[in-house]
Amino acid sequence: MTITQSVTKPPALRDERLIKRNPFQKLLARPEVGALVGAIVLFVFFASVSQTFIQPNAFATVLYGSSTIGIMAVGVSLLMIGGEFDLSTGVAVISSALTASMFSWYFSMNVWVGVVLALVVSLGIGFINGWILMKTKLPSFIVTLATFLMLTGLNLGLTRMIGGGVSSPSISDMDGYQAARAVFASSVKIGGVDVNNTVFIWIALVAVASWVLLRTKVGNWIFAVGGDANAARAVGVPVKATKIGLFMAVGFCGWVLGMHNLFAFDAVQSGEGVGNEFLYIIAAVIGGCLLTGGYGSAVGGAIGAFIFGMANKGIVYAQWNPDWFKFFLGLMLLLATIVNLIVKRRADASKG
Amino acid sequence: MGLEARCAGVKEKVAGTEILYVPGTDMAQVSSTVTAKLQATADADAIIGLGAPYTLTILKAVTSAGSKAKVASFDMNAELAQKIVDGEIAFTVDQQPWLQGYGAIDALWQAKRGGFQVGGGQPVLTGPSIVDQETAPAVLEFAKEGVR
Amino acid sequence: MSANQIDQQQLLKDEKDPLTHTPVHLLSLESVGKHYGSIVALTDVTMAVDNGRVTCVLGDNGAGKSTLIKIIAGLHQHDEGVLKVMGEERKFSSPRDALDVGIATVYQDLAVVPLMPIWRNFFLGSELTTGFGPFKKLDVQTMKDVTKKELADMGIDLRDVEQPIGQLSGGERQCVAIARAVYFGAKVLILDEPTAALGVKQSGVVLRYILQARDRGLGVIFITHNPHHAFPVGDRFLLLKRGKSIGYYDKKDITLDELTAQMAGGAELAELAHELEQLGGHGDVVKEVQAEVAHTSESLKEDSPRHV
Repeated sequence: MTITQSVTKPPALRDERLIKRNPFQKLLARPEVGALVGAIVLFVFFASVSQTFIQPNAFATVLYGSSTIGIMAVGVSLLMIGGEFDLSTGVAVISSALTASMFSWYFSMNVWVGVVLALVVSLGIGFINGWILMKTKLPSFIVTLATFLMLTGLNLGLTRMIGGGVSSPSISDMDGYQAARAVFASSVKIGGVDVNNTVFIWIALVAVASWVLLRTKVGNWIFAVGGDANAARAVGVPVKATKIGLFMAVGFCGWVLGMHNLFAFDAVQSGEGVGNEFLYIIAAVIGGCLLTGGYGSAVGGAIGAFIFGMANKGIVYAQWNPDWFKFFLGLMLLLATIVNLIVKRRADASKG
Repeated sequence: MGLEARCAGVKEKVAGTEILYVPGTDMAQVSSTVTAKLQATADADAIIGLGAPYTLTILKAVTSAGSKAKVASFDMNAELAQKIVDGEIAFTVDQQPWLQGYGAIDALWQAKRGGFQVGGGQPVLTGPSIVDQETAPAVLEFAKEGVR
Repeated sequence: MSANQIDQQQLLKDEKDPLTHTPVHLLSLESVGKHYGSIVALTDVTMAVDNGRVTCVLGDNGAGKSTLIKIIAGLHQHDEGVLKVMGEERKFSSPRDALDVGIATVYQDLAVVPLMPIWRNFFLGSELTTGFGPFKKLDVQTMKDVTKKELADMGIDLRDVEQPIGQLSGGERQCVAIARAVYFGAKVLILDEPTAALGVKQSGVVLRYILQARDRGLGVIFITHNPHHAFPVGDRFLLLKRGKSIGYYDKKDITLDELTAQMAGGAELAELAHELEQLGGHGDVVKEVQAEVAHTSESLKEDSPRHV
């Protein structure tokens, strides 16, 4: 083979097209940068129109309001990065709470039994969502819309069948209630301000999710299945398991929030939760998660939830008519996504 | 809607009333929004919930915020009745929905049986019945049975 | 136009298992066939892949090339014939199975996840980790270093392995995928139309990496419909048409235009020469090809004037 010998190492390919990026440009290329800018602007804005807004106890309230969205946004963000949607999250939270409460009440069991059962049910809902999706290859929009409707019906139907009313009976006098409440729905005093437990759970979940996403194998797989599932499968990534796992992670977040709802308010209305799934998705999108998957961050989802909390409560602190809240939220969504788009294009252009 | 009418009624009698809208499908948001409002309006005298479950959540928010605002409500369930007995909630305006259902069917039956016209073709009021600490204990028993 | 077809047994004499020194093919297909329901996609295909050899599979659209690689890559299973790896009969039930015996496939369009950084793509599915149990984390620094080094060895010098791979050119992406397969110890490298979507210059770049991989001792299966890409780098040529093998040649037994003529039933020489000219500037490989073109264009005039 004369050819074999004649091939020398080809000259280096790289050339003038690559410019070393400075740290600022690197920051701009992060998915959550648009949301971060939005959050800062919003904070400064509300701080300037409302005296109360910047007081520590008000800030704790804003954080609490953000955390109940944010806990779910963690799971939803991961799922979105993995390229899927879940429209059943809002009611799945309530399903979880109802399971724990109805089971403990009906069998007069220690509430912790119900709590564990609710975890099983929540993970189960996630598994079923993911499994059907993988089996049928239908879009997740359709599959989870179906789950959403079925869960809404089950929540109402079973609650009425077992408890006789549209809300679950109060379980505040049952065994284990106080301990469970201490875990899921108590608050900690920091500097004279009561900070709800959910805020810490939220932060912890964001930290774990970020770590998984950026520093583990599974995180790599999540980006891959969302970015290009076929390419991921071709190099040996377990696409099905990853996606089903993501739905189960969403289920886990739903369980945490469901338990908070149950133990903070003793009883659960079976019709609750409808519509909240969009808030979680909005938080993730504001936070820079790409609707088509493969791009985003857990921190972004958290900032998205924080923006939601600030806008939601800021309007109250500013003593404005809350009719405007939805308009505000829509505007934030639009601005944040546009900023994301511009920033991403600019960051890409500086290299390409 | 009925809820708007309730707000309008309260506002007509108490001019300084401010209306706070909360998402009825999310108790956690109800709680945090009420807390925020109480922080923003520290001098609020009273807060009235438009439904028994929401009032119970409002009560929790008021307690944890350390506000001195009194809590009152529309509608009723057993727990709310208990809170009125305990003096934590001042009163509730009970529309007596059980009676609304019973009365309607009864009126139809009477009309069929004897051509009776209950109320002479005009709206028949089933309330309101104001339940306060005095009347609450009696009501509580029936509320527990699910009658009220 | 009567090139000698390869006799599989004859071929075997030159190939030895590096460990046992018995004559055995790295990968061989004997009379392999595949049908989807009543549609016959592939019949009676025989070919062999050996260390340090490039086996080109040529054919037009619908010739059965993709069915063939899907069988070798483990995406589909053959219905007839025998597939052997190191002399052992195998049937792969999944791409993972094929990967485990060292058969790596680089697909034309789904080689990589565009939004992910180069280093994440490089190690996708085979990530390096440190630590134990639930605290097992990615060994990011090592992975970045390895990616950079491996790509540099292939002649791609990237300062920033953190940039999304989608920002690389098509040829560079193919090269990353090839480098990845080489690094992860592939013995057989299947390249599915790596040059189909590329411009002339980029194609040249990819062809160079095919030879790089070959020189590292890999057995390469190069799928293409372009004989001008196949001929300079190939050692053996399997021609498919309508799911059947219409020829299986050793490089020494066939010329480029014979190959071209066999494949397409006669291609225009002007276009061929033009494209090869454009391929120029890539060292001796192309020079040899150009020489061959000059030579064959003369012989073609004599042999088969209808092609001129």
